[in-house]
Amino acid sequence: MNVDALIEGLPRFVDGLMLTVMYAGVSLAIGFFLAIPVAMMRMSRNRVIYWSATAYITFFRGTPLLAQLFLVYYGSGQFYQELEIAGLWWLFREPWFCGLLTLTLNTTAYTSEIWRGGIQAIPHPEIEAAHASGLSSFSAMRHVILPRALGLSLARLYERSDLPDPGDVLGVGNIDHGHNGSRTEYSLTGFRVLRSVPVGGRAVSGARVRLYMDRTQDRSQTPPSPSSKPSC
Amino acid sequence: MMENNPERPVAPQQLSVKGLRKSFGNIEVLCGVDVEAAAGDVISVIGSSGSGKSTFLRCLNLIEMPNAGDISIAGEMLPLEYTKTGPRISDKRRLQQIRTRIAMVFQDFNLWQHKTIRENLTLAPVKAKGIDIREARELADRYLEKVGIAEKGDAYPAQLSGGQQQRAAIARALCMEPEMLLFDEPTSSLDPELVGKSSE
Repeated sequence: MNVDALIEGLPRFVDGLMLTVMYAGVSLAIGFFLAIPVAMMRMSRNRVIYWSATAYITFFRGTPLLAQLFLVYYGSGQFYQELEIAGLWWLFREPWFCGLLTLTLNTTAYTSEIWRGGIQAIPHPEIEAAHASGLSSFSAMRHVILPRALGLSLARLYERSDLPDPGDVLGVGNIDHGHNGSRTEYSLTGFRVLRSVPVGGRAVSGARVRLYMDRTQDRSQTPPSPSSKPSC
Repeated sequence: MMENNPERPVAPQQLSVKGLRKSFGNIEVLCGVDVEAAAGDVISVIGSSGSGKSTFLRCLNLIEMPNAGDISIAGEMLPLEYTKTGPRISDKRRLQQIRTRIAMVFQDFNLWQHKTIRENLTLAPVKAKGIDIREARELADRYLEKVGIAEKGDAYPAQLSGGQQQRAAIARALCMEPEMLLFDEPTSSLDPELVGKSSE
């Protein structure tokens, strides 16, 4: 192992860690709340609502995150005219937005299933008691169902925070910028997972720095210019 | 299976149930129950297990939806309508409002496990009836004392014995200061001495 390269790369690891923590934190926080309505939809008796939530969850839980990132980041590039008309291109052309969007959609899918499990684990009579005492559906949800579900699924939510791999976002960013920022022309040649480094372990839960490095890019001795870093 | 208090003075009916029917699948549990009660009446429903006592009580606040029949509380009809697809609640708001006037004590207490006993007692008065939180706490402490578990206000339901939980559940119902109390086997977990005390 080349120790020098590791020491040299240390600042990049720290950068990566900060970015990872930020991506993980923001997406988990948004996903935590967004997952509640998705969980409700998944428990809906309306077939259309149920199936749309199920399709969404199955897709995001059933495909690799990296593939989803490619799909959103490069896929949206294919539709840039349409997105421009919709007035969304200024967002979709930004790597940070695509990264955050995908991570959020991904983590929402997982977290919604945790919420659902928690809600369904509540002894039904407790919910009945809430309704019987005249609480509105909202109050029952806010004061009885959700806090109770949270208590029941806290352990799993904590586990969840270890799962998202924002390092993948850096991976996509790196490939992209390795090719001068052209979004549609990219190749996977030389692209590989160098190492998965869990930093700080559980202390920074979810903060897994995974640096994807293009070897050829590293050897070309052209230090990445500030602009070639994935913006965030 | 229904037993009504016989001689009752004619007074504005607090509770009036007409032709209440409820079936689960093919089993008809309630086949046309009529009950009338005036304010101050105490009605006991006696029957073997599985005869529909709980179902009857649960129909009174529409926790269980009856298949037919009218229920009115203090002259106000429960907002229930029977459609081709089955019974449905026609006015949710009004039902919630009526439910704050009917408190129910469940067979297995159904205290909210994530809340302390005091929070269990104050939640509905504050959120459903709109009582001030301080007032609700005073009320809660008063009723906790009345049922003999004044010192348990800060405990969680799981830290209480079955009998204590049942008394907490009774206190929770009393805190709503309801016009009507529905007890589903309210003294199943209480020892005989406490039964007398709680009944008061």
